[in-house]
Amino acid sequence: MKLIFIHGRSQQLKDPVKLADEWKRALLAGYEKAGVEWTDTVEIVFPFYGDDLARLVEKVNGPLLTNVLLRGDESVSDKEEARVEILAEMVEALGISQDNVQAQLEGDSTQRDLAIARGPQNWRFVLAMLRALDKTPLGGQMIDEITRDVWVYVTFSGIRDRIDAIVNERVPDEPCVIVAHSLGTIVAYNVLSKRRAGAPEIPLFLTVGSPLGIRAISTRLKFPLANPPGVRHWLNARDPRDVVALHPLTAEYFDIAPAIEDFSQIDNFTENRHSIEGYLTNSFVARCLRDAL
Amino acid sequence: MKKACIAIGVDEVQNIPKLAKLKAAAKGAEEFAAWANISDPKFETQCITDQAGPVCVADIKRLVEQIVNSQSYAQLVIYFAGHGILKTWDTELWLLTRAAADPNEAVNLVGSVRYTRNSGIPHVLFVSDACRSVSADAILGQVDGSIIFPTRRVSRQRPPEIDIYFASLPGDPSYELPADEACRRYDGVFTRYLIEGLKGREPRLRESVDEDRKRINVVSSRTLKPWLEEKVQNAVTSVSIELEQIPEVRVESQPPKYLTRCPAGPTQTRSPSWPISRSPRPTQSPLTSSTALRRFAEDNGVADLFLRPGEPAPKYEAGTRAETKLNQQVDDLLGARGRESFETKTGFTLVGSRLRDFFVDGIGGRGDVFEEAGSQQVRVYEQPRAQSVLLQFESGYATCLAAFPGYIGTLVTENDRVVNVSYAPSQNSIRWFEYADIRDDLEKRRAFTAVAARRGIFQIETENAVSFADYVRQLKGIDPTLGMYAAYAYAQIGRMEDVASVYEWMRTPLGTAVPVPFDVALLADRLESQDSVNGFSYAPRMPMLTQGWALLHNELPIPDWLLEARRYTLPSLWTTFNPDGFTFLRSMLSKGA
Repeated sequence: MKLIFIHGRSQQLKDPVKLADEWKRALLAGYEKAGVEWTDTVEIVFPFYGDDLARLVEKVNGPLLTNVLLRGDESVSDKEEARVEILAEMVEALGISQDNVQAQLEGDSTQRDLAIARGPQNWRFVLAMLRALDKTPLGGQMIDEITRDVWVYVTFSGIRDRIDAIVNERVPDEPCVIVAHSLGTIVAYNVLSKRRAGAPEIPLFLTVGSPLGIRAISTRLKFPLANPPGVRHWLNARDPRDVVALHPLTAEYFDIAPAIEDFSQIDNFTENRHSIEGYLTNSFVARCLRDAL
Repeated sequence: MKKACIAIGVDEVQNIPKLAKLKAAAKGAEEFAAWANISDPKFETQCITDQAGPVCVADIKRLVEQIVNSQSYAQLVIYFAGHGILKTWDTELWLLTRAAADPNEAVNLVGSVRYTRNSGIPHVLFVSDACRSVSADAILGQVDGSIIFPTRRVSRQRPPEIDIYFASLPGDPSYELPADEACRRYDGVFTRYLIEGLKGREPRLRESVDEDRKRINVVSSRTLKPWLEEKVQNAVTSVSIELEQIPEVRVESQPPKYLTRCPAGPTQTRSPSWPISRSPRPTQSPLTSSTALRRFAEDNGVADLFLRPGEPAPKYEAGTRAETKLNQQVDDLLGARGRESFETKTGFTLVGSRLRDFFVDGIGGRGDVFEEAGSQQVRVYEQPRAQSVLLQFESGYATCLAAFPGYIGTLVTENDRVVNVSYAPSQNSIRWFEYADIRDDLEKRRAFTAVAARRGIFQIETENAVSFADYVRQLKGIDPTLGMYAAYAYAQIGRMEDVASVYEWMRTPLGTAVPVPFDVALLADRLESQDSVNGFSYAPRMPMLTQGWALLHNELPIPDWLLEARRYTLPSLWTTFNPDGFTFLRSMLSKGA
């Protein structure tokens, strides 16, 4: 059976063959921990959209907030609101107080007052949210980068369609197992949701480190939430300390039938608690994949 | 595909003797819910009726919120049968059990439709089997109703297509029909035919759409609309030729969206039973305000802007009472011309009423009143900030309008209720010559628009939205109320980007000296708090059309007193307050609140 790996952001300029090998090695480590054996009949497919995404994000001209110097009243435009909502949701879910955010505000008192009055509608306030998030394992810079790329993908339909097409081309018209990570979980969900009823079965759709539970993202998906056609079992694995996988994919955050099996007990050993290695080396994840394959 | 249906039936509104207890509302909701439970695909259905106790708005809001928050529903139908009232054009309230005791215990339909657009549910239907009469009842006048959809940010990825089914055309807000009489006419007929149509037995109700690469037969709002319009009207006139009930169905949904799949097997045509003996069907559709208005538009060369292209010419009898009344209303407006200039370039001419009192809002705001040619003239002294002018008529009723610098407003009242306001550049202003060139044509179109709006039938169809927008854009400097009508019409059909465009046209070229009407800023979601230097960028401090009051809620950047003020509004196209409302508003505006 084919095993499809769908990667997340920041993979540009990398060799997809090497990336696929890294994923496989991490998974093999998980197999070893779980005491199960790899089957040589499994064929790995690695759709690669890293270079395209980086190029398209560049075109949108959405600079990283941590790299720009804010001056005066710089209001958030309607187009950029998803980016800000994601950050606001992170701040709220992580229990960071408004006092803490306001303490991060810089500039003269007029600018501070303006930013406080307008809250998330003002970039200065948004930057303060990022600074408050800097204490998380992922750090403010990385959150800024991830949020920017997710925002670009969910907001600009032309970009989304291009990325989806690259991935869709490599999803075979036969039963297969799909593993998706981070932004790749949104891409995979979109690609699978567009399939017709009666499409070949997917015995396991495994999402790890997925931001799909963030409302600012789920409310912007093109279709109402639903189990994608053909998916027999959707397993979501997350480390609760992973800021990107902010919420579990339970009925409260991703209400579909049949319900997603949410496993929020992963101990992702990587420093930022989000990297793919920390998920694929988990023995529970490996065992589930082995069973499905 | 998950689908949900909430069916609400309220036979009795407690403690309002004028509203007779209905016999078929709860039953209608139960029957509709029963259909939803067996439709294909089946709806997840909740039926709330007063057979099991009072129907409360909190219960409805909770159900809707669960459905919206789930983000997993592709279709939602909200059905209501019971007593309904209109506060004005398009501002409908569904009265719940305790509406007399609590002004929030009603469903504010226009506000709910507005927030449905942010719900992320791709296809939403509102079905209203309620009368649409305007009531002067003192208690009902205080009912505001509640918005049953949660306020959320706009979902651009899944903009809903909204279909609205009304059992009848709206009543003219100027003519108060006893609510109990109006409801008696509509009792149950609409729901009966709606359910029958949804069964998809008649071939002409069937439409083919593609689903999962298969061609299937379905019933959609597109096929139901003409069928219902014919069937319901025929059923009612078969009881009495004098009765008129033409359903109004507003359809936004496009293929492949549908309501139910058709049953397999041979088609069967059957009409629902109607318990009263039939008289012969009329051979000609009766004249309605809608058809008469269409005729007027065609005769006067304005049909291209306002009417649906490709529709067959309406059948009507020229010279009937309804057509005469319509033409009279338009002529009255054409005859009501304001003063051409003031030394201050800004003011109002009153037609149909005399003033008891007035108040100009803002620091240094002032004006005076004088008599000329049988009308009272209100001269407003220009201020750099946007100004609101509160005008009280002799009866004690009042209104609040924007003073647009360089414009003279003509205020037309009937029975001391404001039926029209139009603005024209003052003769000594820079925009006068532009206005003078097109004056006659503009006045005709403007009068038509105002009458259509008053009748609740001013709608911009998708097909001619562009031409209408172009027309309004050309006239943006001539009369701010045209932009306001356009913004309401665009909002009604969910073209929120066009509403935003109207706001931008009105804001940018006119400059900061001329404020944007409050209503346009509200509809475009651009209400902002007062700027400490320039004051407000909009005027007046409240909606000028009564419909705007239904869109106010406590999460907008508006003062609390504005929400309280809507309790003082009276049925009228343009905002009209009762005497207590004038006292209250003057107090609030004087305090600079």
